Amino acid sequence: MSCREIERLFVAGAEAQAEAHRKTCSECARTGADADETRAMTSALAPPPFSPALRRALLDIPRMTVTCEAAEPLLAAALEGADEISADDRRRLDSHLSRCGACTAAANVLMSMRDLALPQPPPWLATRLTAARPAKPASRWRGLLSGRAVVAYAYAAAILVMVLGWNPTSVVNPKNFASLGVSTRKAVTVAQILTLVAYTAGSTLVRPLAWATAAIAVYATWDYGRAAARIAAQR
Amino acid sequence: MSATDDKDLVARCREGNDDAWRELVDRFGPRVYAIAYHFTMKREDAEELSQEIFLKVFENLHRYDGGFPLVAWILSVSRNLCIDRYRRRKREKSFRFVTDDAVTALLKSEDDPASVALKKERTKLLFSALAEIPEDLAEILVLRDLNGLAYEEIGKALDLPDGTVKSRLFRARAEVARKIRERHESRGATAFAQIAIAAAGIV
Repeated sequence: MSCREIERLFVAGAEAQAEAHRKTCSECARTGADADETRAMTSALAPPPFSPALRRALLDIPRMTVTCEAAEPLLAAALEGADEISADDRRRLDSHLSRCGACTAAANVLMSMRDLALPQPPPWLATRLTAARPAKPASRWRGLLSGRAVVAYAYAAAILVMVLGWNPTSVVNPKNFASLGVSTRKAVTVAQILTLVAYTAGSTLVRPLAWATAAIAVYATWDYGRAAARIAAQR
Repeated sequence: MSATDDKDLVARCREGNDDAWRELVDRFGPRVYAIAYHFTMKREDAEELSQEIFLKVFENLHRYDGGFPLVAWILSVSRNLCIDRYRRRKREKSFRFVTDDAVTALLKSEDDPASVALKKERTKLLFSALAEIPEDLAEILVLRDLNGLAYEEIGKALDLPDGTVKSRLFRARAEVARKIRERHESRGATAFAQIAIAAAGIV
């Protein structure tokens, strides 16, 4: 088995002990002499001359490539389109990508987005979308006949009839008109209250109730005419 | 140069400061070229390798955190490039053949032609032997003995403890000397055989 004491002492930096050991161990004496010889040969050598041309080439490196950090905005610009990046920057970016695995991987992922196919909708989607289509917007005339509009008309008619006591037939026959009857007032009031409750509760009955109130108000107006005719005959 | 100075220099390089990059090239260019040369033993290859190393250094400046000397960081960044070149050179048939021109660049100027010739021959033997030993040993010898890097710098660059660096260096030196001796002896035997054959012919 070979003696490696000289190597151990060298690693430990114990030069004096190494010298002493070499005198007692022929194997280590030879190994030590070999190491010394190589050391002497290498120390006699000069560093190779560093040429000015190489120095110039190294100084030019920042114009040949970019750092990983600077590659990011250039990559983003390149993805925007060929017009978004100058020819010099494109060359520097390509030079960087040819050596940098991480940036190349990032560039490949970003570039691959453009090649992705558009997802195809499932065959049933068109049917579902058609079924879920919102109702056609109400026409202008439908708006005039909506529940809210009818409520407004009914209340307007009721106000004319009940509060002002105005009889529309008086326009035709101003001499013969009747005052509002109590029972008619009650009928109109009940219809109004029901319509109001339905309106407040958001019930779907609001529209028929509003129509009913309007009908009662119209009936009351017609009834005034009859009452007025009767009063005229009695006179 | 302290680690703070190194960090500041790198920060200025990252900002695109041309003066800072010039300072970095002037401080480390000759050392990187020398290492590249010792791994390739060919001027053109060493220049190409130096450019590759500095390209990589520039592109990876953001990775330097000032944790250890800049020269060690540059070495760690360039190590794979150097080893790749070294392996490529080993695969070539001319691996053990070191040219006169390659060693001339390493000789200190001497007036005595005989001395120059002897040193040239020894240097060729040195690099031929270096190429024959395991690369983990050769790498340490190149960095320490041929380029004068500190143990600490080598250890940080190669991620090895100081003891391992020293141990490998010692073995590398002994191995190289042994390879040179073997080659010398085999040359001597060949020369002896040639002389004997020649003598036999004469006789």
